[in-house]
Amino acid sequence: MSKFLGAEYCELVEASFSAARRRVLVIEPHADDAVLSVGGTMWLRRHECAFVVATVASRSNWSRFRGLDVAATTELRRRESELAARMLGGEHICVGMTEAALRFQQRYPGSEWTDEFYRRHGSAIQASIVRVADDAERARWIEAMVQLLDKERAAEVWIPLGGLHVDHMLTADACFAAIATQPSLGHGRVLRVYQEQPYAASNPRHMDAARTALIEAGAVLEEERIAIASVREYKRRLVSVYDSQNLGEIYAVPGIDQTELIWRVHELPRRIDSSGLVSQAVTRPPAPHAIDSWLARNRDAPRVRVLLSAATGHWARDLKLLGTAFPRARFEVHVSAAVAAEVADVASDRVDMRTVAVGKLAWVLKALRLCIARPAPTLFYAGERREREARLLSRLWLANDVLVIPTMDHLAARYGT
Amino acid sequence: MRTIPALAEITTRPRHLSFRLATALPPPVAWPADSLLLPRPHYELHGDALCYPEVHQPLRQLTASESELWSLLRQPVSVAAVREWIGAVAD
Repeated sequence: MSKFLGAEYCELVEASFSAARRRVLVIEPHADDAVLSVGGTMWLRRHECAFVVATVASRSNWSRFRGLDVAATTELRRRESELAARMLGGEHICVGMTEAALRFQQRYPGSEWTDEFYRRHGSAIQASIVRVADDAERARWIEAMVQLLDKERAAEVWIPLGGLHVDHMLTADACFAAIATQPSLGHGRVLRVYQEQPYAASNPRHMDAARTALIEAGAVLEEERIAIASVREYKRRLVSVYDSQNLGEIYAVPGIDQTELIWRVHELPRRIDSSGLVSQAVTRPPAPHAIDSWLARNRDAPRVRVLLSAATGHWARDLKLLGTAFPRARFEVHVSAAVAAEVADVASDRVDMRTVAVGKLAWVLKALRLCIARPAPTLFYAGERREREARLLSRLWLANDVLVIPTMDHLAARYGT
Repeated sequence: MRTIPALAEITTRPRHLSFRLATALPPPVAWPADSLLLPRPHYELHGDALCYPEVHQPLRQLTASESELWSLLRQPVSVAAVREWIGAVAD
């Protein structure tokens, strides 16, 4: 038994817990998020709280083990979650929504999640997980949260704050929208919001924006900081149960085993935007007037130039939006070869695609060539990391009306998703 | 940020060993008899060797008593029950 425990082949679990414990529903986007974010707190409170961990996007294709299909991966992750919940003296529920990378693949009818599919679309998949979901997807998640909260009569509900991942934002948005839609789902319950790890460490600005969005919408939050250093080895053990994931790397973020952060919700947000409370706030463009006026100036343009030096993550939706914004235009799309598949795989007779070789030099040469090309309204998307470089390059095109955006969600935010 | 690993990492690292989170929780000094032993879901027994799913390189060759213990772990089993089946060597 010692050898098996030491090698992590099995876990030693307390046989019984008090029946008088308070039932606490902890909602997590993916299998492992609750333990990563509040695993220490749950371990400390396991004798006073009967935790029910509900994984929203429980249908998954992601595992570090190669060769597992969606069904096998989903089942493996369910069993990991069930074991972690048992270690806490709790239960686990699969809500059954489909996680983001798999939703991306489902946009390509007839495709399957294979190494080849990932090789072709890897950049776009990476980009897609930080794009905001569309309203139809959000509506499905809200309905799922309504059903979960209606069925699971816990005395407390813990909601994720909404990390920089479409499924995390969707989960937070859906929880608040569900309670706003049916206030009875929140009546008589203690509601808490929890800080999400590793997002709090890797994207603190995003997490601050999510919390600010809640407060600006009328939420009254009381902060609780839980010191977990005394139980950090237990949290680490709980996290390690999710061995199908890449958690060795993720768990290295600073502070993850020192303090956990929870806010008790004294007042719920009163204003819930239909585009999602968190999603809408974090994708609000810093200068909306610049986008609005560029769109208005060029609405009737016959030709619009679109430069994509990075994958947008949802080109089909972006193209539809561009088609609406510019009803008479054909689109001259210059796209980096590394991400060309994303554009090539969306058939459209309004798109004239031109591939740019990979690398900065190719884009500099392209920029110089465009200086002498026929002027056209130009949209330049280079991703957040390359926005500054894109702005510098765009200064070369004096005769063109250029808009540089760090995310296509800024455009969507002005037109609605 | 939590992302999908780069393709290069997926295709070049020995995937069954990469990114693993090791723990240092020591086994209990005194084994509580009524506690349950639950197996992790990642392992499959091929012959006398434990393997990760779809990775048929053995992680560990089990001894006879270890094989017996693994067989018992197919269902949640109490420490007391393991001791009863395997004897004093179980701890």
